[in-house]
Order: sequence, then C-alpha cells, then structure tokens
Amino acid sequence: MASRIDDRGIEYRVRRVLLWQLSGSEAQAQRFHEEADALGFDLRRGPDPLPAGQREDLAPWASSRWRRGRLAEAPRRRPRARASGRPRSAGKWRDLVGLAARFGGSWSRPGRAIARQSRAGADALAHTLRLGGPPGRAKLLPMAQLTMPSLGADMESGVLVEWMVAPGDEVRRGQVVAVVETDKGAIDVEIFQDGVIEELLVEPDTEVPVGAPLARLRTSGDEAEASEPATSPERAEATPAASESTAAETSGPENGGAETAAHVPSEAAERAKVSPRARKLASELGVSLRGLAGTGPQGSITADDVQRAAKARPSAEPSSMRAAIGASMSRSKREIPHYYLRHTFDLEPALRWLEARNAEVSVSERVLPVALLVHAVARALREFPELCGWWRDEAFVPSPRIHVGLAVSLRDGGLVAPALHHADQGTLTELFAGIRDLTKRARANQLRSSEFSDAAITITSLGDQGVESLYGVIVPPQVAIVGFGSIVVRPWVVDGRIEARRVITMTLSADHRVSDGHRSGRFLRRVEQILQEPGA
Amino acid sequence: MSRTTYREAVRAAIREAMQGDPRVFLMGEDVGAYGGCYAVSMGLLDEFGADRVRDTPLSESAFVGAGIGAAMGGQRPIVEIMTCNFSLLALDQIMNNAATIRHMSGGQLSIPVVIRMATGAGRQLAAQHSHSLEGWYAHIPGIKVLAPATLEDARGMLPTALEDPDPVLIFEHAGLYNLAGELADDAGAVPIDRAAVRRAGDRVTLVTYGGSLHKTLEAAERLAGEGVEAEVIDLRTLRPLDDATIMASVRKTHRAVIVDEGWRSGSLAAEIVARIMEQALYELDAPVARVCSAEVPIPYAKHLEHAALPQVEGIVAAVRAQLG
Repeated sequence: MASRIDDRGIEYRVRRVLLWQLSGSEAQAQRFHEEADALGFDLRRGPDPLPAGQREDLAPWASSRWRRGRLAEAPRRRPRARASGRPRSAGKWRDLVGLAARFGGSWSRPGRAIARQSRAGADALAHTLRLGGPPGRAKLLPMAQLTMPSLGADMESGVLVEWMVAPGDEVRRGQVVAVVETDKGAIDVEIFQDGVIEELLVEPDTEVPVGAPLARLRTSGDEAEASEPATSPERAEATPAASESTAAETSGPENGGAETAAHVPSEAAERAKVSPRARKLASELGVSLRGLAGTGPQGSITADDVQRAAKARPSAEPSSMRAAIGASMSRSKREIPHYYLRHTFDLEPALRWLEARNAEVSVSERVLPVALLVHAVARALREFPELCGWWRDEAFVPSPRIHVGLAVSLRDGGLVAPALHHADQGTLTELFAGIRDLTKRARANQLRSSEFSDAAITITSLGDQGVESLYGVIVPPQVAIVGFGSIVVRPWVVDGRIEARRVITMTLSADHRVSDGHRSGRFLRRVEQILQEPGA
Repeated sequence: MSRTTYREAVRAAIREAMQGDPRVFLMGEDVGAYGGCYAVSMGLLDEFGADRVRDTPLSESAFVGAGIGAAMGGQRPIVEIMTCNFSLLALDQIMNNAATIRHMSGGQLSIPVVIRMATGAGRQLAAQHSHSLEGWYAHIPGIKVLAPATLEDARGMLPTALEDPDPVLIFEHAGLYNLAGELADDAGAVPIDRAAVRRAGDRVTLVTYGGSLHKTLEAAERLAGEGVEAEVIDLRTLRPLDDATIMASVRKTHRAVIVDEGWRSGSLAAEIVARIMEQALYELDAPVARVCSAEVPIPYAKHLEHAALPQVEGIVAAVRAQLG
C-alpha cells in the first residue's frame, strides 16, 4: 500500500474526495465527479466543501500537478492490458474511490481533521471507521458490487443484455437482476446479497469481462461482508479477475491528468457506433453487434447491417457454442489427469420397483428412471465428498452441497450442464420435476446464473436411444463426471441361473489429483447398492 | 384552374374575407395608398375604402395593439407587419396581450386577430429585413403560427385563420410572393392543424416549411436522380406542430433532415429534432441532421447572402451524409 505520499496535491485531492464521499450524498459525490471530469480536475471552481482558508491551499496544485501527470509516478499505477470492451463508465466513480483507497494509510488523520469541520462529514467518517480498523480499500464504502459472474470455466466476458432492476430497487439474495448473453445463451444473473441497487454501472449491450463490476449495491448489514463482491463467494474464477479489474480501474489516469480529459473521447472511440434502430433490431433478432461492420454515416452500424448479419447467422451461432465446449474440454484434457472406472449392474429391481410405483400414483407423479439414477448418485455422494467439489488454486475445495450438473443436449446442437440444486434432498417426484424443469429451461435458454456455476459434479446419461457406456470428460473446475449408458437387456446370472435382465453401465471419470480408484470404485458399488433397494 | 401568383392568392383571400364579413378590415403600414410594401393589398383601398383598408403610423406596437383591441371588441382585423424583424416592436402586444388575454380573463375574452408578416431572406434586403423569426413566435403558447408555402395555402389559410377565435400569425416568405402557378378557381379555406406530405419517399424524411419548401423539393428531385427517394414534409403550421405526420414519416424512412431558414441554435429545427428523439428514437438509423441558416445576421452581399442560407446543394449533401 502506498502510504508514501510525496505529492501534497494528491493528498489534498484524496482528502477532498473522501470528504465529498463522506460528508455528502451520493448525488453530491457524483456531481462533484462529473464536474472534476469536465474541468480537467480543476477543483477550484467546484462547489467547495472546504473552508476558505484551505481553498487557497488547493489552488497551486489543482490545475497543474494533477494535469501534468504526477500521479503516473505513483506505485502500482500501471494498468493491466485489458479487453477493449471494458465499460469505462463504471470506472468514473471508482477511480476516485480507488485512488482514495490506495492512500488509505495516511488519509485518516488529516481526513478526520477536515471532516470534523462538517457535522455530516464527521458522522459519516465515524460511521466508516466503525466498519473496522484502519480504513482499507473496500471498507471505505458500505457498498457491495455485483460483478460479471463466471458462468463457466472458459467464460472470459459476457454481454449484459438487460437490467431487470433499476437504481433504488430493493433486491433479495437469489433475485434475478440482469440477463447476460454468453456463448451458452442468455443467462439470468442472480444477486447474492440483500440490499438496494445503488447504481447500474453498465449499459445494456455492453460486453463486460468476468469479474468486472456491473452494479453497486447498498447492503442493509454494512458489516464486514460489505466488502465482499456480491456475487457468489463460491466463484473462485470471478475473484482474481475482479481484483485485477479493480486494480486496472483504480489506476485511473495512466497518462496523468490527460486521462480524465481523454476519458470520454476514448470511450467514444472504443464504442461501436450503432444506430438506435439497428440496436433495437439486433436485440429483436438476437444478432450480436460485436464485430459487425457498419456501412452507415461515420461507419455506424445500421439496421441494414444488422439484417445482413441476421441472414448470415445460422452457420455462425452453433459454432460459438462448439467453440466454448471445445475450449472447456481441451482445458479439461490438458489439465486434469483423468482416470476411468466402469461398472455394469442389474437395474431390474430398481426398474420393477419404479414401474410398480408409477402404476400406483397419478400420471403427474410418475417419474422416469433417470430420476432414480440421479437420486442414487446424489445420495451416494454424501459419503464421497472427494468427488463433489472443485479444483481451485491448486487445491481441492469440497462442495458443502450436492449440486449436480445434468448434461442436457440442445436441439440445435451443443450441450449445457446446468446444476440441479440439492439433488440429494427431497422426494423422487420433486427431483424429477426439478430435472424436467431444468431440461426445459436449458433448451429455452432460460437458465439462471447460479445453475451455470454451482454444479460440483456432472452426470451425463444417454437415455434409451444410446449405447451401452460412455466415458465423460470432466467439466473444469469439477473433479468428476458420472456417465450412464442406455438400459439394455442382457443375460445375467441371478441366483446361479441365467436370466434376461435390464442392466446399466455406469462409468466414472475422476480427477486423480483429488481421488483414487480404490475409493471411487466403492462409490460405484454404493450407487448400485442404493439402486437395489430403491424404496429405502 | 387559372394562372396566379402567391401575392395574388393572398390578395384574393383578403378580398374574399372582406367581401364576406363586414367585421374584417386590413390595417398596417402602407397597405392603403401604396398597396402594401410587397404589393399584396394593391387595389383594395379603392375597392373597400379608407375605413376598411387603413394606413397606420409607423408604430408596430400601436397598430398591432389597436388590432388586438378591435378583435377584443368583436371585429376581425387583419394586421399586416412589413417584415418579422419589425414585428419585434410589437412583440409586447403579441406576447403579453394577444397570447395571454384569453387565459388571463379566464376564457371570457377572445382575440380573433390575424397578423400577417413577411419573413425570410434572399432578396438582398440586408439584416434588418431578412430574418426568419417565426421559430421565436412558435415558442409562445396562446397563438397559432402558420407558414403558407404554396398557392393553395396562401389562398386558403387566411379564411381559416379568421375563423379561429385566437390570435393567428401568418408568416409569408418574401421570396414566395412572385411564385407563380395554377390554382383552382374554387380554391378556398384549408385546414391549419396539420402538416402535408409534399412528396412521398422511403429513404429519408425532409422536414421543412415556408420558403425552404421549394429548395427542399428541388433537392429531393436531384436525390431521386441518384436513386434516393426522399419524403418531403411541409409543416404548414409551426405552432402547434403536427408531430404525428413527422413521426409517421420517420417510422417509414428511419432518417430525417430538418431544413429551416431560421438559425440553428434554439430553433424550430431543434424542437423538431427533440421531438423525434422523444417519440421515434428507436426508429432512427442515423443521427437527425439540420440544414439551417449560418449563425450570422443575414448579409447584404448577394454571394454572402446565398452562402448564409440553406441551399439545394447543402440539403443534398446532408442527405448523402445520412446514408453513409
């Protein structure tokens, strides 16, 4: 942390920012920011919360030092090279906050002195300090962020398609707040904290890297958790990306003061010119505007361009899904030392039990064998935590809950494996309803973000049209995948006699960094055992 | 059909109104003995006498105020102001009296006055006689503002305006008085509450009025030669604006260029652009463009005056830029 402040101007600047932030409302801070932007940080002309004596102090540096770019010499200022589509607008506010945070070690004493001069400022400062210890980077604001979730190991960015909430809306954990377009289709993004939406940082139709902030959230309990990202803590991929992106964001003026002045033009230069009608048409037709060549004025994308792209699309769309699958599977085979087990067992007892059960219950409660299989696997997993979790940062993280990914093949090619939450709980009827719902929504592109990221193991089943066995490729960062072949009739020895029985072949592909064949073999046996007494 | 001019069409409208209604009279500077500075009222003094065709002192405030008073008293005055530049001397009467009295009297008093004036440049009359201030008047609630651009409208808007119980301002572009053409013998009153599509097209909407209409139509013809069919809308009534006609066209063409002889800043053209943004943003395929007068006092020198005003070339260029 750069506690060494050799530029008095920066110190003032930081204090000014904090004072605004602490003593004023959000709107005041925002106004201040816009003003500073517009004036090239010439703060002398803004509405000034400082007493007149200190205003003079600001004058020498305000127009010169900041602009000349002294800040560029401060440590940790180099921005990371980043994707061009990053929403710059998100950074406006956070530039300042981040800047303040970077000098967090030294602002508090003078900051307190200044804040004392304003009653509201003092209150706010005290409030901030109560959040715990010396003010740290994220503790400055009792705010949380909604970040672009990672909806798959290979997702690098997503396009925010639609906001389902507006600033000021109260949100509850699990509520769908936005729709994000990924290689896998449109995903509903949930929020993982209760609170009130403070500000939406990203416009619809913007491509945003994983981990980049989408919205700011005022949390009700502004305790320690306020500093955590509002997305699921289970999302390891999101965290490093988020902090990197924050670092890049807060690094602010990479070329000194010129950056802020150049802020708007560079944003305009990066943002594709799309006519309003073209944008509307593109969203109606589901055409991605990315990479589209514009033929309108100033190279803008017009409705004609979108229509042309829509016509050319059919060949393009499946390949993006194919590319995503390819990337994920390549990574899996590159990084994960797979081992494979296979076990064929008699499914006759389970199927007879199921047929008898189905005959007794109403049509709506009847279930297919797949529910029985998923149920058995999920319950067996309770005893084999090493198969249910994720490989993250060179270590295995077991999942506290048994969320099972179900591979669903899509009608127009490709597949997804959304999570069936708590697959080991509830009745068979409930489980089957869950499977049906998930399959239906997967095929209708209506999955929720948690369903893309929560799965701790995957089950893939060929159903009744397939072959005897399949060996799955583990979906990173999971550590195992269970495969079921089709149920087939085979000669089988029962009580010393050969009988025609319906049997099934179950396979397990597992990560040798985490588990071994000996215990995993017992897992397969355990599944078989559960299925011998399905009613139990 | 007979051959006539815009000037004659206006005169015919005044004559018919005076013949048909004894409450109608004409008043203004030089409208009697001289026949009007643009010769619109030539011959009317002889026909109707000095009581009904009244030359006034050179005081716009006085004679416009007299017209307002006469209207309040039950007459149907037609007040002529030489140019809209001079109308500023009567702005107090128009804005503080004519436009407000119905409201301030709680609806008890009507001001059925019609105020005609010349507007616009192009005749080397220099800055004090050449400006287009109709956009300013279109800002004022309580009055109607008309801009006849065709023989039919020159002939037909006046009777409708006289029927209106509220003040109506008619801006006649000075460059149009000599416009000649065929007019139906039975031409008469026309509605004053809607814009007109003067030319149909599907690639771009050109919105204009008054003296710019004919330049815009010429530009549209030239564009048609390049395969670009432009739709030309003549606003006709500048207040209240006929949004529906404009938006219907924009929804069809997805592009719009506003041609307005007024200055660009804070103008009628700006108002139309704003309304398109409010009502049809998602129909647009290109930024709405404007072709307006240069922001200078209109010059006297012929080549400079030409350069300062919207011209066919500029309209064509603006449309080409819309199409990318």
